[in-house]
Amino acid sequence: MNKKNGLSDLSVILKPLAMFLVLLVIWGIFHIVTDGTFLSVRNISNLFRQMAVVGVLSIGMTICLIGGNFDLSVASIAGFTGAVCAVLVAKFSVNPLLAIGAAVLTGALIGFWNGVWIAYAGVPAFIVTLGSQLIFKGCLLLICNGQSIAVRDELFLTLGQGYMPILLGTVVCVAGAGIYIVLDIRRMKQQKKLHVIESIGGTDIARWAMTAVIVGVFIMAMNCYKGIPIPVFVLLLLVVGFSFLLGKTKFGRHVYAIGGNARSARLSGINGARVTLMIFSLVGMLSGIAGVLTTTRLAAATQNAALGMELDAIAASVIGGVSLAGGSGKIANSILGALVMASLTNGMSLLDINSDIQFIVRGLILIIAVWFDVRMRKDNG
Amino acid sequence: MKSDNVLELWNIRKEFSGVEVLHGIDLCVRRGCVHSLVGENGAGKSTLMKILSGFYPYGEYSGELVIDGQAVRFSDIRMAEEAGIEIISQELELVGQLTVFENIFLGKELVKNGILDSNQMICRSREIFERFGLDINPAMPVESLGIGQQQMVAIAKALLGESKVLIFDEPTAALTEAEADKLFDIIAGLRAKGITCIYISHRLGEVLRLSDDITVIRDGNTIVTDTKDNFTEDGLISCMVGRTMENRFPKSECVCGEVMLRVRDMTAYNVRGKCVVDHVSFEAHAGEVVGIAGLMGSGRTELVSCIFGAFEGTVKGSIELAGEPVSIRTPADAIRRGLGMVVEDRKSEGLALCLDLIHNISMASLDKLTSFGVVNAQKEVGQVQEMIRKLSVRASRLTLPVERLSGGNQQKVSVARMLATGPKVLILDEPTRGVDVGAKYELYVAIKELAKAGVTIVMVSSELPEILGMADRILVMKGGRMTGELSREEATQEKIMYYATLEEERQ
Repeated sequence: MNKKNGLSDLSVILKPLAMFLVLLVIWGIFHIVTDGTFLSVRNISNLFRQMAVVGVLSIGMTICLIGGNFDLSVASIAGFTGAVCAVLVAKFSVNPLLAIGAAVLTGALIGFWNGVWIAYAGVPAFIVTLGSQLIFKGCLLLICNGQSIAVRDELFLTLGQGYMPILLGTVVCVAGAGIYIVLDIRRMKQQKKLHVIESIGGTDIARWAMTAVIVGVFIMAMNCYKGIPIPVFVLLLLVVGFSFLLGKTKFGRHVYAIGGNARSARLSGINGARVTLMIFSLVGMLSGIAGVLTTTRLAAATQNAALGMELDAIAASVIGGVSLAGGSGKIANSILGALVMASLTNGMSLLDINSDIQFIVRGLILIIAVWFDVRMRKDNG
Repeated sequence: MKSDNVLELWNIRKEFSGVEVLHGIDLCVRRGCVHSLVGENGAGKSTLMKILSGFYPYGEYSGELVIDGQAVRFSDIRMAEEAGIEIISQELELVGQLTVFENIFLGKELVKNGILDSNQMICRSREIFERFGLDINPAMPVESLGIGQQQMVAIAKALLGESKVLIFDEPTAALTEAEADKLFDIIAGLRAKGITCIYISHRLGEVLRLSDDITVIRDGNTIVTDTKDNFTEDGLISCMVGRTMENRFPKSECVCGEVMLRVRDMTAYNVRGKCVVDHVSFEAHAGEVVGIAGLMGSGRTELVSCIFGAFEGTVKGSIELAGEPVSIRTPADAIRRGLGMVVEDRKSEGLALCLDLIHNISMASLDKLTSFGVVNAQKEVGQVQEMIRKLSVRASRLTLPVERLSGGNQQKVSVARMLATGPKVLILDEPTRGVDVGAKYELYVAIKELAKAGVTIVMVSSELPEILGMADRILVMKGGRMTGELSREEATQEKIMYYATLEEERQ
């Protein structure tokens, strides 16, 4: 028994590590077949910028999956809200910040609408979100009316295509990583004092070292080009914020509880319907943010914006170790999954692989990732 | 060569995630006998039977399985069935919406010209029932039958093949006395037809009445196998428990305070409109352990679910807590008012198995541990550790998913969660089901400690010795009604069973 526990301690570290290895292998292969274009600083910067949208959607999907649900409408919501803010700015000359706020709020309201159907009317999430997917795809087509809506606005361009000032970006990231490590060390010391753990072991030190190395390499790579792309910075802020929400708050506990066992949660006095409604509203809000990021990146709202990305988000979460059965997963790991998905898309585009083939590959990866999840659970059960 | 034994098991070992639960069990079953298997919950009986019936394929266990002198290795249930071994499990594996004959022929449907031959199947079903003098209509949906008749359907299903060995896993747990008598007749009939029966039960009276041979299993070991005549009930119990009866329950005196919980005219209808709790009223005092006894389906669980606000259906009646009328519509209301309940089925309802001890234990008491929505980690861990100490939960670390704990420790975690809310009244529904002897005793001690501290305990249990040993007062239910109330001094197993099986006309 003790041996087994030791192993599972290790697997907490090994899982992200294995994902890193997968990522490095993918990068290596693309690097070779693209004759060195893939790992150029320019493309890496590009890759991260492209990843931001899937990343933001993955945060929402992760929360949703941990809560024992899923959402097929996130990409449609993103497409629609992206168009909403484009129209507000381009056609009605609304203040861009206000337009962004409106788009994010719209996303949250759509999520709320999904949540009401699912949590209070008892319609399965599969049906509700599939319905919403169609509804808001329709709304997007209605707004676009066959054309893309170009936005020429200074703030928009900066947001979508700009970079953080190198000094500021570096300082914020280094400070963030430093604060995380210091807080974590304090937490472990506290746990040691309370005899939760016997000693601060190698795995903890490895975790801190890994955090420092990843942040260091990331900043250096970004600064070699023009700095951290603003959408990536937004993504990082969201990851930190929502990790805190899931890990340290009562709401986060409730999400894990209803995903782990909804009946058990109810018998513990948790209002499952309210938590589910909250989850879907948050997912909608995040989809709204993803929509804004899409529009700002392309400087236009298009009919095909974010097309099919709900599946990328699910695949990213599952690759990141979120269980489809609910109750387990971590946002940071899902972001690694999103990076895997974005790398595949980016690499295939560099190789001039058509979008039809790309769809096929993404579909296969989704199935294989879920198959792995199912296998893992069988072995553990 | 046909040996005298229809079935032999040699040195069977089985482990779950690195913990060995069967330590080399031997079992020889004589042909055409009724062979009983007794042992405490968690002794390994069910695991052994799952190996025998092919549920755990060879490779997941080690040891030798010999049927009719031939070593066999099953890779699935089907193979075991083909070898003539059928199990009638605790949870009858019937499909409620299908009819009796469809259930009997499930997976072995008779076909004529590619079309299901219903007439033939109905006739064959009727034949089987007639052989045992049963009057069951094969065309009825199974869910419209009583639990006793459903069991007969399960037996008929098992008899369809050429069964050599029938395994009965706790068949009488849900039956009335009359239904149980019927079952015993059937088992005697099977024996007369040369079919070997393996009988698992906690009710030692039945075991002694029915068996030819008895094997006692304790903690994954075979303790003794002998013919019935060499056993007495007390002798069986001391074999099962491994020590004498004396200290199975902690001794304590009840120091009852004022009335803490008063339930009046509690009536409940389930979602199908059936009355499951019928005008039940009772009181419980501070520091008192009130036991609720009754057979399965007598409405005990429904009653306590109503009190806790967890019942899904229509509930009428009033509840007073410490003299104050309260309205409890959801478990959240109940917990806020100082009422806690530990549910019967910890796996499907009690715990979130994939989450760790910390998540599980603080799940119901997060309000106390958060400020501005943020969980105070230090406070939380402190509370979790206090609970773990109080209930002597054994876990290698707090971040272990509770699915990795033993049944006893899981149950303790389940209790810990409710204890952490600081309840004035704690309802425990079958608190020691599937819990090993050691953990059982620790739970009893913890329960008594709570009562001593002034908590009102309402304990539902199917195990009569447990109710007799723990409760200061015993309420007995039958068919949703409260049929009897016994003080600790006057209560005996016989009296409880009398009230639990009381027929309408006797009331």
